[in-house]
Amino acid sequence: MKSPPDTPILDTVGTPADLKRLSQDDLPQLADELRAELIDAVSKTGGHLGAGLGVVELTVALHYVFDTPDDRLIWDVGHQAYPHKILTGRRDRIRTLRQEGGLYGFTKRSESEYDPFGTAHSSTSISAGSAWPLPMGSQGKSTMSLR
Amino acid sequence: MAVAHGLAGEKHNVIAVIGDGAMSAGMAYEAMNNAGALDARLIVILNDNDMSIAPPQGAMSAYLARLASGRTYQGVRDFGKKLTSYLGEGVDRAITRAVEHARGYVTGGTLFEEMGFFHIGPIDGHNLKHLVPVLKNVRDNGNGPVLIHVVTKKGKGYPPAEAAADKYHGVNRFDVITGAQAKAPANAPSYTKVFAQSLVQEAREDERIVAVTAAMPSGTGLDLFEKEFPERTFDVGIAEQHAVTFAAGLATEGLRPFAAIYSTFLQRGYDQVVHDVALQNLPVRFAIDRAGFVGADGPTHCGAFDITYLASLPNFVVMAASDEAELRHMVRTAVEHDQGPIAFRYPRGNGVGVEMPERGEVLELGRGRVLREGTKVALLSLGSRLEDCLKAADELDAAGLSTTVADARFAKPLDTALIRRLALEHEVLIPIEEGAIGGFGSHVLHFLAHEGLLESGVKVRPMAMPDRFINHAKPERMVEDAGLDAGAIVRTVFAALGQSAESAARA
Repeated sequence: MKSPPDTPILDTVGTPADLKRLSQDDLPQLADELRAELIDAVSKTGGHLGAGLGVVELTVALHYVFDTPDDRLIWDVGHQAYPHKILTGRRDRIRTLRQEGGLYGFTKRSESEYDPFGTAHSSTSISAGSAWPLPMGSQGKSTMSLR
Repeated sequence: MAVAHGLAGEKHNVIAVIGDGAMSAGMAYEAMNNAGALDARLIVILNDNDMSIAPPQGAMSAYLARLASGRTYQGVRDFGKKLTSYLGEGVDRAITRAVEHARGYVTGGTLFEEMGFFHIGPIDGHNLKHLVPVLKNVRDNGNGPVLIHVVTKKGKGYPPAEAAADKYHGVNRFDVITGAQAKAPANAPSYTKVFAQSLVQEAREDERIVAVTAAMPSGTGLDLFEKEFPERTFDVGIAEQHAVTFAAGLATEGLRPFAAIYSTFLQRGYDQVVHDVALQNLPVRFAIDRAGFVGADGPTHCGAFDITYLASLPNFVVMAASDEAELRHMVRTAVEHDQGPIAFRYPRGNGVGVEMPERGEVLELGRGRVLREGTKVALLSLGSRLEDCLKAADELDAAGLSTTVADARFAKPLDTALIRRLALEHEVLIPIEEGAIGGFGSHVLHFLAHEGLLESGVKVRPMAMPDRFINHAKPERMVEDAGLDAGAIVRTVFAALGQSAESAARA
């Protein structure tokens, strides 16, 4: 296995907008490349791996279908969000995961506008998520900004 | 709902992805109950991998397994009808095809539907041909809360992970080809292991000892306990509130329950600690692992607040272990303490390498220990900062400042005799802890103030975590960032004496 792996399709995806330009037929290969990238990155940083591997296809599908960050996507606990980080503009820093000054091991509002809610302790996603469709939470475009 | 969308001017989707392990916590149901009532436009994706960190516990997990195995199948036609009623006539046929190919599906009459959610699934979470059309249809047609039950495999696509019992939940650096994880050489056993072994040892002598974990059997070391005492081990799922009150219930029956919960997670069961344990003065033993800085998991997992939130409670005894032998003593002390709740905290990682006693001794409540005697400076450490205090004392001694180092052992009750003596016999007194402001140091200051000892001339400089969250880094770097390392202790002493470290070094 090469390190880093060859990822011709993933290399064209900087953000979910790029992902949407792909044909649906390309998605399985994208998922394979994303999985290889995830394994390679975590082999160097340590961290949560099993949960992320389990949601590679789901992550691809969610970003392909929905319009993040205007659509709010929240990962409960957040330890399964490494593939999400790779697809949302953070691939260049994925090998800094959990290192000082690097990406955080969970979702974090100050890290990306694609992380609408910080997580790490479990079972909070439905509470936070159910607030957003309400009048105060859904006016206009994303109000989340990078701090 | 319509009002919300009208106000918003455009429709936003909200998607929450939650694992079946996380569905064992009450908060998820509190939220679903409310979301159903609000009729909020919320898409919950239940990521069912039948595994969180450890195999999931309880009836909910069994229920999901039953759904996934398709015991509650409905006919394809019924399903299509149901879906059309929810999604409208524009429903893509692909969605029904997706479900036909899946392991099974259910609609109607499930728990989630009773809570006001439209329930789709289970569908194969690794098949993009199924996922994409289902998600598109929900996006384009749905209204109100919907739950999509997706079945996935933790560790999917990486053979070493798939083969491992924990599916490589959390890993060290590893070799991609073999899957072999790097392991740092350890000179001393981990605190977690010392806790578990000590508890097993005590439990052999005392069958009243039982152990409670909230979905962290291996993280807390209770997997070792469970191996020997399966019938005395209770993994209640990710449910700290329940874990604490359950332990309280066990205590009312004369058992000796140990609730082994990380500092950061015990926060999730705080009212239960206050109302169900402390107020009723029930002898629940809290084994608080990951107290202090935890490193890569950063501020969300930092054990910063437990001393503060426990030592403020009437009836509680609060201890902190400064090394692994102390931890063994504290386990024994907790076993024997039937008068009320008692907690002992200990850090993540390995012990310091001290000699281990065969069995723990029962510590006298509220009695610390003095490790070295000096005359000018007193360092009074609670818990894991002791090693750095000893290092700092070496430097201070070398700079001509004779230094006493004491281990308080107890944040509550305080060793008032020791504190009084340290205050009266030294020019500088530094209480120090690896915890937030409002903990041990605050209790020491409160005592000193009321005893009039602050007017005696001693310069007291409590050291605790700063009033901010510390970013993730190696634990020792976080300690440094917080200003709680040996260098910071030395600087604090010099500052109290009005000297800079440099001038003292020159002197």
